[in-house]
Amino acid sequence: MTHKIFEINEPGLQTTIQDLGRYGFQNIGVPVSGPMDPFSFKIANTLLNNPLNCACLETTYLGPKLTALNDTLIAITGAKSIAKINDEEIKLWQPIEVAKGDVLSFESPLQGIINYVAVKGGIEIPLIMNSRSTYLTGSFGGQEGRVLKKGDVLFNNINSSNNEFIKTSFPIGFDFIKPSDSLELRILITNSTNKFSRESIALLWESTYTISSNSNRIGYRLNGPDINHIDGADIISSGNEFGAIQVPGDGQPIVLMADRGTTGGYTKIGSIITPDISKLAQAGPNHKINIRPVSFNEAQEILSNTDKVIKSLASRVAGQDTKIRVIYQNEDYDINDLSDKKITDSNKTKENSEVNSQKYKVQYNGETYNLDIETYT
Amino acid sequence: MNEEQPIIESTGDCFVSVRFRNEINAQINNKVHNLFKLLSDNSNIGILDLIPSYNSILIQYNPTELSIENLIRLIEQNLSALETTETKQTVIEIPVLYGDKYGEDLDFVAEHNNLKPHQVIEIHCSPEYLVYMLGFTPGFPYLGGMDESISTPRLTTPRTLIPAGSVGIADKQTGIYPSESPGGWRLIGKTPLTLFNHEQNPPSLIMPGDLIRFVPIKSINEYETLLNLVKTNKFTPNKNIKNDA
Repeated sequence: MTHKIFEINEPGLQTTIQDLGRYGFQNIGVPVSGPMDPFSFKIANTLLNNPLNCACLETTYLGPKLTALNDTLIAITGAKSIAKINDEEIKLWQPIEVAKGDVLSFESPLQGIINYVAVKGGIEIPLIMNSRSTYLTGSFGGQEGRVLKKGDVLFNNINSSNNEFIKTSFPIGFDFIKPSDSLELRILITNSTNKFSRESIALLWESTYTISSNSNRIGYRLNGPDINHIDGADIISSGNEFGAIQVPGDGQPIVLMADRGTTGGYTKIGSIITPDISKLAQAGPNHKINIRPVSFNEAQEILSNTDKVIKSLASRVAGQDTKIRVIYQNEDYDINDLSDKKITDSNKTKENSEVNSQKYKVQYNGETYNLDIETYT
Repeated sequence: MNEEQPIIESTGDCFVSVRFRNEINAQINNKVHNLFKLLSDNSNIGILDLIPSYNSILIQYNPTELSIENLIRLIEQNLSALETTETKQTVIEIPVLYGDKYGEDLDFVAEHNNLKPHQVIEIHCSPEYLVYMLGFTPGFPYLGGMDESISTPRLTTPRTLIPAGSVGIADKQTGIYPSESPGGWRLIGKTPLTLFNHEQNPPSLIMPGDLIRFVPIKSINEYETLLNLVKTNKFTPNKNIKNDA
């Protein structure tokens, strides 16, 4: 059953409806679209026990102001934003009850640039090519192929079967770094790298790039030292990956994002691993970034750990979690494998940093587990 | 060994590319489309999407449902089945009104190649063009097979708006704009057909691997009649199946 849930009072800067994306039509040139930060998107739906593909609002920079037309349940994830219901600040990363007549509003994000607003049952809007995602350039999908505007009314679709679930929060939130720090993006290099000289590749690892303000849902442009080609920037046109780092003739890399063209004729140096695409999307313009290569196995392990975090939240929400889990720095540890194990925050190990060691005793089913967590400041 | 093996490569944590010999030709492209058909089988759980192009196919998959080892095994099995796959191609007729305001650059293309405009039309209408791939914008066909005697360089300053259905030439290529967009191609004509409509199923009239043939429309009246039929969904383009067993 569909219900009216929100009316838009103020649309925000760029608010669109997105589901996980439009798959199955890239062979005829239709871009995937979908969330720029798939991690936060999936957590938002999971917190409401929604199927992962339910349509949510994606806000960029400034979120919208909405009036609730019915009682509903929402979850907001993504950027560290101040969100309010009737002028009272609400928590992100957990389910929030909204009553008919309530006004939901946002202030500009403090960290990150994109928020997701999931609603119980998902936003209901007609499917275009099997998806509810908005493709702005093509003017189709979502709300008539455009950003939301004042007066738009949103619907949700309540399926009575999945209303019972455990309301829990996702306290880890998003792993933001300080805006002044450089964000490290891990990439898988591809073979077509023989299009670039060794010096050029070395330059990519050694240099700091800045995300250009000329960035959008199609691509994030990076400003920094030119990556030179051995023999021109053109290749035979081929399919484009989400997160691919394309290097056109001018040597300035472009990371291909959610609304990327399906195919392209420029050289690519590799692809950013999926969990880091979310970080890049949230970093936004003027943020500094560094790029470092990872092996395929490393990439698959990181991806599988991220996936476990989402699945573990899903089983807690569904009340099916039978184990105690320790979640730290987006990694999910099974307590049964943790006896006397030390979790070290290796990503942030730096010289001159102070070690902050905390000891925990976790008792479960008559067993005692010793847990040391070391963090570096 | 005469036939070299295609390169199977992970190009991302959720992407694998299968690349045949690094050139643009119809035989290689045919392998891409046949492999696409085999891999699009619905029983291949874990494959999210497939992007066929000139000489390669990009596979997006979900590694939690389909391991890289199993995906590579699946690709290799299908590659060995390629040789016995029957190729069926659809030939689609695209009616085009050439010249005047429908193709403002027809005279320029003729002059540039020392031809009369009617000769450009004849040459443009004679081959069957292979749709190597769709990309750039939804439904945009990359066509091969244009006679080089009508090749013409692009405009130095692209037009800011080209109407949907425009047929143009850029160097040795010809193409059709499926939707309104800016562009630098020399426009020689316009088709009343809708190439891409997101509300239709299938949304694209032309599919990768199809053949297309341009058929000249004789008068503005005929163009308008066709356009009305298209708009009221009463027009079915001529499609013939060609077997290249």
